[in-house]
Amino acid sequence: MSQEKKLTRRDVLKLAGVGGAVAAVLSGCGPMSRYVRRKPYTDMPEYQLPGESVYFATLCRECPAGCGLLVRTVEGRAIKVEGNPQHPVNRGRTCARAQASLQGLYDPDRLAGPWAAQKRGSRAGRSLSWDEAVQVVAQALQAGPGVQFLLGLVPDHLADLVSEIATALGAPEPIRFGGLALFEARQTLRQAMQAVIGQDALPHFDIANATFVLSFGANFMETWLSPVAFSRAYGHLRRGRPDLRGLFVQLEPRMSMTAASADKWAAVKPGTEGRVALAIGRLAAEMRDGVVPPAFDVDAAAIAAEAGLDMALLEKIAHYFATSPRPLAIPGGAALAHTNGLETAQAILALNAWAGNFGLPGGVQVLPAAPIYEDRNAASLQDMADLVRRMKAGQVKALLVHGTNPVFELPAGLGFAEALEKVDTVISFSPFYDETAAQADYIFPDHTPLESWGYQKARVGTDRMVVTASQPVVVPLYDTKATADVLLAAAQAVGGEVAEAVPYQDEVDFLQQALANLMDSPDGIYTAVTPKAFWGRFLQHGGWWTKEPAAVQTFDAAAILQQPLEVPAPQFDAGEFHLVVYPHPILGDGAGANRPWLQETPEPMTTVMWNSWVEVNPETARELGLRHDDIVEIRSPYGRVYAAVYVYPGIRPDTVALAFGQGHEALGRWAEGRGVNPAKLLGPHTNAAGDLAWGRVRVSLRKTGRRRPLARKEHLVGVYGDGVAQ
Amino acid sequence: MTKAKRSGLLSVALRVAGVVLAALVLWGAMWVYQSQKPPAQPVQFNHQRHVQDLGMSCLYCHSNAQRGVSAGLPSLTKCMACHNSIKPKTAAEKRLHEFAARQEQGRGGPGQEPGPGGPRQGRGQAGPGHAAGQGGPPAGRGMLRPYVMQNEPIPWVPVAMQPDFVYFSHRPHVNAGIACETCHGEVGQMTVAEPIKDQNMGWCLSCHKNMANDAEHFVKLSDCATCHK
Repeated sequence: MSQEKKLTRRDVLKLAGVGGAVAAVLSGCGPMSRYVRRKPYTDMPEYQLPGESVYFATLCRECPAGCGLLVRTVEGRAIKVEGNPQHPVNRGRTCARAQASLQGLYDPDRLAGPWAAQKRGSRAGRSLSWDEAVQVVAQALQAGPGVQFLLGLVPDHLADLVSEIATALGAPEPIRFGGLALFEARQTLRQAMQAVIGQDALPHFDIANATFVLSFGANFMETWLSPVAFSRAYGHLRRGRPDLRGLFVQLEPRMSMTAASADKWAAVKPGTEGRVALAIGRLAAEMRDGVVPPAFDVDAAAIAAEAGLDMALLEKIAHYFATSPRPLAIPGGAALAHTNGLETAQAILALNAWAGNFGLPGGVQVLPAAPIYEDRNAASLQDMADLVRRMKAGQVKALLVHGTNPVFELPAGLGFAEALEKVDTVISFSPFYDETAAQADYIFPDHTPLESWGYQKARVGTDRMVVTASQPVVVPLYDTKATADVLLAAAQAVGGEVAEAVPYQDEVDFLQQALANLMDSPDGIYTAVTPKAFWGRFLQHGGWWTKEPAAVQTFDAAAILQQPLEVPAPQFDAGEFHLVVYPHPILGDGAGANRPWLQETPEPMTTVMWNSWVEVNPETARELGLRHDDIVEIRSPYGRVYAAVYVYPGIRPDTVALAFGQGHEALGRWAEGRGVNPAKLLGPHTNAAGDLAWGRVRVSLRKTGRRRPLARKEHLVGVYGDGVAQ
Repeated sequence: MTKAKRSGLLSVALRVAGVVLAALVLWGAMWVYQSQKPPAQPVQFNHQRHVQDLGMSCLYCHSNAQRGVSAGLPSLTKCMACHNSIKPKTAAEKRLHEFAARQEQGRGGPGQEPGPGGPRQGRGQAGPGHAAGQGGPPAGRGMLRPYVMQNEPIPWVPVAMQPDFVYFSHRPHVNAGIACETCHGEVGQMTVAEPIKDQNMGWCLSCHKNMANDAEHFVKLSDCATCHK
């Protein structure tokens, strides 16, 4: 018989007690309705319905393309960015950077109010009130001709307002600079257009209506000029016409994401793109009508050898160019970033001149500018070098920086950071604590774009005049102030001519008056009788544009063909490998590095996330004994960086490539201390138009013996089996 | 192992299982009990006073009921529209005035209207959590502008909540002429809002069945996807 104890009363009470205690603890986790709280507005706007979304049409400012957005908000909080389907530039599409603009708005490291640094570069300082901040700016403006405004690439209302203030002060024109401009060679494009059609205008390439696109290093599906518009256009090139599928050939030393979509990518030797264009011109002319214009009087076979291309390939390309109804040749940034960049651009545009496509659908077009203020050009590297020279000479007393990060983006060889020391007062208006703001005396943070008023004129990527509206989609989260308001208040404080030059109550008043020119334009999608009525429609539609595409213009471009076109041989520094630096397709010029969504998005060709890498050809890697993830030192005459190797077949054996955008030393928790900044390797050399000739830099690689696995979305062995299984 | 030890282990295991079971049962009972009694609200709003005594209509405060999915709750401004001129006597009224005072403070004083657009005057002080001179310029969520930080809405506890997989919309119900009391009970006689007993799917379906005009209508009303999407 077992000796089990019987269950006594005491046992039952004990059990009940313990059970009760446990239940009491556990019932702290009660039904969900005891933990949810409903917080209504304290002061509800009239148009708002609880739990329903309100959409605002606004502008994306992550790059200068000027796409229109619809931002969805729920009860005053922005939750999703989508494209504006009616906007002529992007027609409802967005790129990754537009989607991540929300993370810019909600960045936990965003600057919350005006601040004065105790010493430049130190994080010690004190907060100011906005009244004090306005006084500081007014004081800085007293320097009159010694004031220099440094703005971003976005052609917005602030650039227009600032140029009025600069004129009244007798100060130099504001300089519009951006990292992307370094890689797009905008000045070169303009000067080449001037040489070919006599007009200093940024060209628009109508990819949608072309039938054969021959791109020389233009990464138009990633960051070049207006990537969303060009991506849409590419879709139309391929599938938009039921009877015709366009062809696309890309010539560049490194296979970019754009090249991956091409029918043929050929790894042309860096710096030879211009001569290859002339060779193609010659072959095409021979094939079409046997008449070779003087510009194309070159030895095609010699050039093919020089460029490392098959003659058969050149002949095939020339055949398509000659026989296709609407061929289009595009001079991309990578081709123009050599010492012979300007001549290269002219040679490629000469191909278009020979095809006779200037001004026509499927060709090179020039868009009319909306009649609001003059157009201002983006700065070339030469313009920045001039600025550095003036700074070093002590001619710049006050530098006011907005929308750009020159300390990070400019080549180290230019000496911008050192030149800053000679400037008395540096004021940054950046909403983020970036490298340039870290070197400023004062930071007076602007609202982020999703909290801002404004307009932007689109200059590329569309077929008509477009002015996009920017409006705040949320009440500004922090104690930030619109830079235009700060400058207007400071101008009033300065008084005199300056105050008279900008007699606007505030930013919105300025915008309404600036847009008044468009009010009764009969070509627009709407008209209005008063500026305020126009303003209402402007915000409702998300901008103003013309009903119809701009009228087709014809240009006489024949002159360029009538004389021999000299494309000199490219010059290079000493070094083993060519270096290709390209803007990161997801991070852009680096302003996106503080958005975790962008960091988490795999780079389309290598799938690397959260880091930098250097692309090395498999043959080269074998010769040097390099494998995936080995850390190498990359050294140029101007500096050196360390990066992990990615063995990449899509690059020439004599070339290595680095993406631009990582390597921040400031800009918040997700950007800092991550990756390397290729600007450290670049020098101050320019092409004949003044744009950065990064192609001149040659680098050497040195094994360090260290390894650091890259975070890659693809399998660790790699798509090509060259990786190491772990 | 001896037979005695094994049965000893077993009885311990049984006891532990018994305790756990008892705990779970008690916990479940507590849960059900709590979900059926009216929750404490941050401001003990007295419906009877407002609805029965003062004759206010449901839709005056819960205005979104005929337009949307959720009926909504009144904003602080709507309460203060009347309560600004009523001297606070009860604890609830005093609590309401505390929230209103914070709203005024967050706005920067009476007479200054919030809202997007127009010139914004500087606040002078950074918000709470500001670290002057420590580690850099003021940054981050702790620094949300005083308007946002101090302008706190009343954190109401929801009373009539359905689980997440039920997609209830007020609009078709209110527009079908169903009185609020049908589902929410005699709110005019409640002080603090009380949940209605047995507000479950069977109860919803029984009403749907009765409201159906014809067979097709009945199918629409009792289709799974209508309420569970």
